[in-house]
Order: sequence, then C-alpha cells, then structure tokens
Amino acid sequence: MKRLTYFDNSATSFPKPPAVAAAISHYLTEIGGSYGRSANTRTFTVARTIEQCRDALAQELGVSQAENIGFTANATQAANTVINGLDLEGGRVLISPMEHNAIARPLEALRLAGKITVEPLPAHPDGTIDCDRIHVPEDTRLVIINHQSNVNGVTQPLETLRKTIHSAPVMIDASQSLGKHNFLAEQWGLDFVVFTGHKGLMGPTGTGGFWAKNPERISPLLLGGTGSNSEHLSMPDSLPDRFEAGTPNIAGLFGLEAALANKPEQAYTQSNLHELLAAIRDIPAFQLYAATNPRQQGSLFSLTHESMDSGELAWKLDSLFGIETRSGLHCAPLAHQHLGTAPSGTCRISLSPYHTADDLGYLLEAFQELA
Amino acid sequence: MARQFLLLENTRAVIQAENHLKELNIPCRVMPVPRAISSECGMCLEITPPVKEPQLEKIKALALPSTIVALD
Repeated sequence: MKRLTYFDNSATSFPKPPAVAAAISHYLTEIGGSYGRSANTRTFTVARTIEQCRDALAQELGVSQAENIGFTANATQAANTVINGLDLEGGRVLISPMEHNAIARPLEALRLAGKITVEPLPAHPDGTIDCDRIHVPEDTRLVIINHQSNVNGVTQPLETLRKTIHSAPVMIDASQSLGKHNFLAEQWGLDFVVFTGHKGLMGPTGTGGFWAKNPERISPLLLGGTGSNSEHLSMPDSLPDRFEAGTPNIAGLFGLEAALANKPEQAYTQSNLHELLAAIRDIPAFQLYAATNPRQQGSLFSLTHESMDSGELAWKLDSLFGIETRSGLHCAPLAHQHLGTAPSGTCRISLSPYHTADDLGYLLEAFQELA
Repeated sequence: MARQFLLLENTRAVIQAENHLKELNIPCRVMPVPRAISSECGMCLEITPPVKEPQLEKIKALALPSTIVALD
C-alpha cells in the first residue's frame, strides 16, 4: 500500500472519500440545475441532495432542527454571520485562549469600533479552560470556545464548560472537531456552532455553515435572492432561507453530502497516536505541544526543534521525507501566545483517518533522523 | 374540480411536505407556483387528484408551514 505522507489535514483533509469526487462530477456532468430557483426536475433533484446534506449535518451535530443549519462558504463566514448578527453592543465577549483568527478578527473589529470588550477565559498551560476559575460577568453577551485547537489539538470539555458558564450564550468553533468526535450540541446546551465541511467532515473546500438554537436572534450577514418570498424586498424569516442569499455551492454540497454518507473508519488507533507522542517526547531535540490529558488529545499536535525554526523543519520534512506539514502561526496567534510559541510558531502535524500505524512510524523515523 | 395546491414557505419545506404526502399515500407533484396564486418564483406541490376529507384533515394535522389553495 502506498504510504500516506500528507500530514496537513487541519488545513484541509486529504485524501477525501472517493465518493466525494464522484458526487461532484455527477452533479457537474449529469445533474446540473440550481437550488430553489425553479421547479424543474433537475432543480428539484439538486434540492433533495442539499436537504439530505443538511439532515445528515443535523445528525452529525446532534440537533433536531436541520433547518436551523445555514450553509456558508466556510467556517469563517459562519463565524462572521453569528458574531456580526448578534446584538453584542455594549457587552462583553469571553473567549478561549486558543481562538483562530476566524473568531479573533471579527471580534477585534467590534472592539476597535468601541462596541464590545473581549476577555480570555482562564486556562491551563496547554489551553484547556480552567473550569474552577471561570467567572462570567453579568454583561457577558457571548462566550466563544474553540472546541479543538488547530495548534496543539487540545479538546475542550464542552459539557462541563456549558454547566460552568450557566446561562450566557455559548458559541462553539467546531472547525477541527466536527466529524472526528461525537458531537451533541443540543444535549450539551450549546447556542451556536460554526463548522467547515472540508476538514474532519472530509468534504470539499467552499462548504461550511452554522447551527443556531435560536436563529431569530441573528441578523443575516448576506442579503439577496433566495427563490422564496421574491415579491418582498426584505429577507424571508423562514429557515434556512433567511441565511442563504445567493446560489449556494451546489457542487460542493453534493460532495459534502457524499462525504457524510461515506465516512472512512480511522485506520490508526488512539494507542498508535499516544505511542507516537510519547516517542517524540523522548527525543531531546524536539519540544512537543499537545494536550496534557491524553483523553483531550485530538488528531493533531505541534512541535518545535531546538535549532531549526518551524519553517525549516517543515521544509526538511517535505524535501527529505516527502512529509507535508504546516509551519508558522496557523492563523491562531492567540493560541501561540498562550502556548509561548509566538511569534515564531510551530510545525504542525495533523492526521487523516486514512493514516495507518505504519505512516505514523515513518513520521517518527523522520523526526529521529532530524533530531 | 378545482386544482389543489400546497404552498410552502421555501424549498426545504416543499421537500419535507412531499415526503410526508408520500407517507400518507397522497399523490402530488412539484410545480412552479402558479402566477394566479403568487408572483413567487419557487416551487409548490400540486395534489393530484385533489383530496377531500379525511385526507385533507391528515394534511392539516402535519402542521406544515403551508397553505392549501384551490384554483379553477
């Protein structure tokens, strides 16, 4: 079997399940048609597939109202929709220390405009939020938590955190975790979840979205045609149309629907991953950045080398071993500040469910040779 | 007899309603919304042949966000 040396799955997963490309090709070459703009056979076929995709995502998220899921181009657009669509003015937003710029930048724009204050939640050195020290002031309008860090893979205990935060609305960035973890948004009492389709869900780029428990609290980010209520110049209230102006990424959603219906079994075991991390810890030249509690470890981690910067390490892994990784700040400067790895960043290794124990062994051999 | 249409608020609702009508063995087809009913550019369901009680009551019991419209 050919060795899989692509370890940049937190940027975008590869390979995809074969059904993804087949579904996209099927749409582009045989189906055609739009979504919701007419009532011809092709358009209705498209609508059926897109709604099947929405229903499958509801199952993945652990929610009952699939129409409360709005499709967007990516998690960034979804996060902007929620953050800018809520009435946060004059209030406080609490965030985890591991937030990505998809969250940090829209919040910073609101902060600079004098509309909100932003404060980090207390956390342990690996980024795990410290439930015992959480204080949620009365003027808190939103708490945002990165479910799984895209830098060290630490996965936050959402059910426990939700109870600690009490009644303040909670938004989760599930970009790295959805598709990899059993997700129970309703059972955990979450209010908003933003996600992407092309990472853990194994779909194509250009797909993503958000789920809202109470979507009426969000004003839509984009305004335009929906194929419904066309005689009115304001956006319809009905869901999901309220948040889906413009023709969606139909080819992409065909691919995402196929990905959700054809999820691969993970080829490596959690023990394989933990053994790899333990072996890296034993190499003095490397500093590992991972979850302190192995049960909170996601399928990615970072490292630095005592004498090479992260870019050089990534380049050597690629040029000498064909191992593809990502170096730098990973669009998450706040996380790197918390971990003490800013501004130089780290070299990140992110796994695919298609990786085998042999692939992880090859990765370890490369680290040992570069030590 | 007048033609009978089920008007729904959007595409997702049309698909859900079609599934429900199939489960109730009530034949229907997807149609562009007739101009005489609405300038809406989307789709609706035509119940064909039109139904009376008790099927009509079964449709209402689904509590869909819909309107049943008869058109000569």
